Amino acid sequence: MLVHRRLLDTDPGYPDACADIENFTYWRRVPARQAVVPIPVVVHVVWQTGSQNISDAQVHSQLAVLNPDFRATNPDLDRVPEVWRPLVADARLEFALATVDPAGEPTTGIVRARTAVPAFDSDDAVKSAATGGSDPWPADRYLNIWVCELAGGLLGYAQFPGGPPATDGVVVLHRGFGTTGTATAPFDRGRTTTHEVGHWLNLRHIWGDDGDGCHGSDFVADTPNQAGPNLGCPTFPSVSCENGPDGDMFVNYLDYTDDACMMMFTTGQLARIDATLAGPRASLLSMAGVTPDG
Amino acid sequence: MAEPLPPALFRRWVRAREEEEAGGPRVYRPSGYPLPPARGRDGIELRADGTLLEWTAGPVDAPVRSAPGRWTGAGPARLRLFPVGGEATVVELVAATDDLLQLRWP
Repeated sequence: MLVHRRLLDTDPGYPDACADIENFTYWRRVPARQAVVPIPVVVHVVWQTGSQNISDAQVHSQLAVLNPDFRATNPDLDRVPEVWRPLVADARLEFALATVDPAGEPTTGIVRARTAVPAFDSDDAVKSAATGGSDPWPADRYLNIWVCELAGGLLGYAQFPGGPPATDGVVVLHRGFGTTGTATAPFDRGRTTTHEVGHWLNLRHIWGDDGDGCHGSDFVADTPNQAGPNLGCPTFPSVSCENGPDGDMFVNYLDYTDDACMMMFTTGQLARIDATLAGPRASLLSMAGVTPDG
Repeated sequence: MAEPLPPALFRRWVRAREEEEAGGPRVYRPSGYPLPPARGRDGIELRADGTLLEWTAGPVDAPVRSAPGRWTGAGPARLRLFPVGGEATVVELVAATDDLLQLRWP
C-alpha cells in the first residue's frame, strides 16, 4: 500500500497540507540556519522472534551513523566525486535517544514491543499497539522510528511532513538498521534510516518519482535531473536525461544506491530541511529553544 | 486460438533483479515470496479480466500501484501490455509457475 498516495486519497487535510508546505518552502528566501537542532528520538523495536528484538548496541550503532550523516562528518565523504564536493551540506541536526518520555519519566529512548505479526506491510500496522505494533510518542516532540520485520524485501518507508501525527515517523527493516547485530550487507551501514529521515524532513527522491522519465523533480535545483533510481553502486559518471558530463548524483542519500555508495545531502536539500523545521516541524525547534532562522 | 495462459500467471509479482542475467528475461517472484531486502522493487500484476497493474517504489518508498492498464494475448506465449501513460509492448512469456514468472522484453 502506498503511504503518500493513500494519505492523499483518505486524509482530507493532507493534500492541502502538502500544498501549503510546498508553497512555504518554495517562497522561503532566508540564509541557511546556523543553529544545531537536537532531535529527540524514540526507537520502537517491534519483534516476534528473538533476532528481531535487536540489541541496544544495534540501535546505538544507527545513531552513530545518523549523526555524522546529518553533520557532514561521515568518514566516506572523501568518496564524493570532486564536482559535487562544493555542494555537500551540513544539515546541523543532532539526533539523540530521548532521555525523558512523554510522561516526564526517565527513559532509554528504546521501546520494545512483542508482536504476533510475522512481518509488517507498509500499511502502518506497526505504528499502533492495536494492530500488533507500538503506539507513537507525540510526533511534535519526538522522531518516532519503528524497527521491525517487513514483508516483500522492503527496507523501510517514511511519511512526509503534513500527514497524521498518529503515523508520523519512519519504519525500517531490522536487517537494514544500524551497522551491527542483524544488519546485513549491502544495507548494513545505516543509510536506509538516513534516507527515510530525509523523507521525514520533506526530501524527495532525486530522480523525481516519475519512473524512468526526465520530467519529475525533487524541487531541489542543485541535484541534477535524472531518469530512474540508481541501484547498487554505479561508477562516476552515470549519465541520464542528457545530464552529462557529470551525470546522476548517485552518491546522494535520496537515490537508491547501496549504503556504501551514498554519502551526501546538498545545499539545496538543506534549504528544504530548514523550511520543514521552520514550518511543519517548527515544534522541534521551539522545544530546543531555537528560532527558525537562528 | 492461442493456447490458454497458465492460471498461475494471474497474481501480483515482484521483480527479483538479483536472479536476472544480462540479456535474459525479467524474473519475478510472487508477492509474499521471501525475497532479500532491496531498495525499490518494482512489480507487475496481471488479472484474468485483462487488467494490468504496475507496482513501483513510491515517493516515501512504500510500493505504489499504477492506475489500471490493460493486457491482451498476442499469439502463442506473447502478451501485449498497455500500461497507463506508456507505450504498448509485446512481451514473451518465458515461464509462469506457482513461484516463478519470466517475461522477456523486446
